[in-house]
Amino acid sequence: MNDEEMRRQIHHALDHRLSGMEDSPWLARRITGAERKQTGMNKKIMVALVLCLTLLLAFAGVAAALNLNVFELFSSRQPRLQDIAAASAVEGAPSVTVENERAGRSVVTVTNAYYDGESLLIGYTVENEQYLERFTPTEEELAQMEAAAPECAPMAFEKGQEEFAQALQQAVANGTPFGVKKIQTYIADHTMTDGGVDLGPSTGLGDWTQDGTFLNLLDYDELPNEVRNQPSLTVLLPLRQTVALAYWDGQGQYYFGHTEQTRAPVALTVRRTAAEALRYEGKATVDGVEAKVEIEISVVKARAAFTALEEDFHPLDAEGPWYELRLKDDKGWEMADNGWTWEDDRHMSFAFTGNGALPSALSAQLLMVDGEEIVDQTEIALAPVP
Amino acid sequence: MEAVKGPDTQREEAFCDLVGRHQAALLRTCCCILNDPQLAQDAVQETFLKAYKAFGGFRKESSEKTWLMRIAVNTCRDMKRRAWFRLVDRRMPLDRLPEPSVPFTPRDDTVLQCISRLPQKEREAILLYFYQDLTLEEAGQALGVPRSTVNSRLERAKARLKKMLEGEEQDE
Repeated sequence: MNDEEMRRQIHHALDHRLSGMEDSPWLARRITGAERKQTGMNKKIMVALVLCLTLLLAFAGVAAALNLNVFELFSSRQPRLQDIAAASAVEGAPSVTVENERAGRSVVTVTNAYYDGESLLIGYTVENEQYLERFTPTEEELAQMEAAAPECAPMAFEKGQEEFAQALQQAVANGTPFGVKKIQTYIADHTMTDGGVDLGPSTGLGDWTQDGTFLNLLDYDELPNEVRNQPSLTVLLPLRQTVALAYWDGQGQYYFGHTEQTRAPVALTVRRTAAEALRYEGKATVDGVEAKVEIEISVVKARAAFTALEEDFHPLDAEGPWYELRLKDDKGWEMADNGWTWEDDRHMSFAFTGNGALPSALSAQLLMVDGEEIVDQTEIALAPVP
Repeated sequence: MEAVKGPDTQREEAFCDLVGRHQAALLRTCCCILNDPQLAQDAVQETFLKAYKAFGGFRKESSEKTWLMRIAVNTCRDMKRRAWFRLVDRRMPLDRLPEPSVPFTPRDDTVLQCISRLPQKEREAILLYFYQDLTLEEAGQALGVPRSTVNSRLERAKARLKKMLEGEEQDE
């Protein structure tokens, strides 16, 4: 059964078998009516609005610095980045400058790139990532804007934009109009190679410096086969610039979605590092069945393959426990679980985020987990594979 | 001349639209999370009440459905934590379900029963992804976990569900 068939069956089962669970046409009115009785609504909305508009995102904020090195700046959150920060600093720092007549100049610069044949990580900065200015719509523009939930601005303010948050608070308190135009420059999803291969999804970390420069780390999930183990990769980071408008007319708020422009992508070539990868192997008896665990580990990632050596290993049992693998390095630090794949009755694989330096020893435990509880655990003695 | 609507009227209208768009699917989702049609009604009412109170906190950073599902999942989890709930049979009580208003097949019963037998976190992942049609990213936001964790739970849930459904097919 493929995903689409599973989706169809689940939709059919819930929409047909549970079709007798009728929604109440009065539910919304009951809730709004009850709330109106309980509270002096208008005042409450005003207070909520002010609180909401002044809500600033609680980013830790890293110090502004020249020659930013994104991997180094994020190494306190992910120690593995410290180990590759120096080697992955990109010479000449590929960058693209975007000029906008209102926002001025925004510069996207790749500061780090790491590729070891299996993993790809890219760090970049965006100077002048967001530009804000006051804005009053024409009647024609206002007619095109959409009324937003009245007690909260659709545009959130970031650190460094307090002036706008305060001005909006004031306007709300006085019942006077106030509008904001935001121009944002950002790297979009779907990084491609120069050969047209989509590198797939990435996860990462983001933050701002005190001067408003945006820092971001892209850590790509399992790379497509075509781009593995190449001597180098040339990738194109898609660059976009959007304009968003928000307007408080003294009574209600209006929002105009995004006008997006595609800019020239940021292109960079990253050479494969000489980074070593180690392999470990071990055997264990799990639930009475002989099994083998093979692990490949680099400084940034690890992948473990579990193979039951006998046919009658059936870890899938909806009523029973499940298996999880724990990996610890030679310092006893546990590696962060980064996903699990069930392949068939005898094969499972587990992905991990690396701890940095290659471990001189590695230990593994296969856990039987029932809900949140560990019901059994098997130590797996691992030995390096030459 | 058309009357100008005040902010409270606009807010109520927006909220009524929200309830109208999501109530039915939310009821069915909560029923599958809780395995109890009566509790699901309570959970949905509580979810919308919380949503109404927090309407101001919705900043369009996530989709409306993702935001609502986050509230619903947390509400269901709170209900499940109550001690007395542990005494309740965790399987979907088919005999206590209201009479369906559209025809259904025995296979629908089988699918519901199999979903109800999945572990809680996997059940949430499968309902958000396959029934609410959220993306992995959105399901992660709704469940408060990284995308990779949703992916992992979903893979397990799919494998278990597939296995259970295949087992049921052989029994049928």
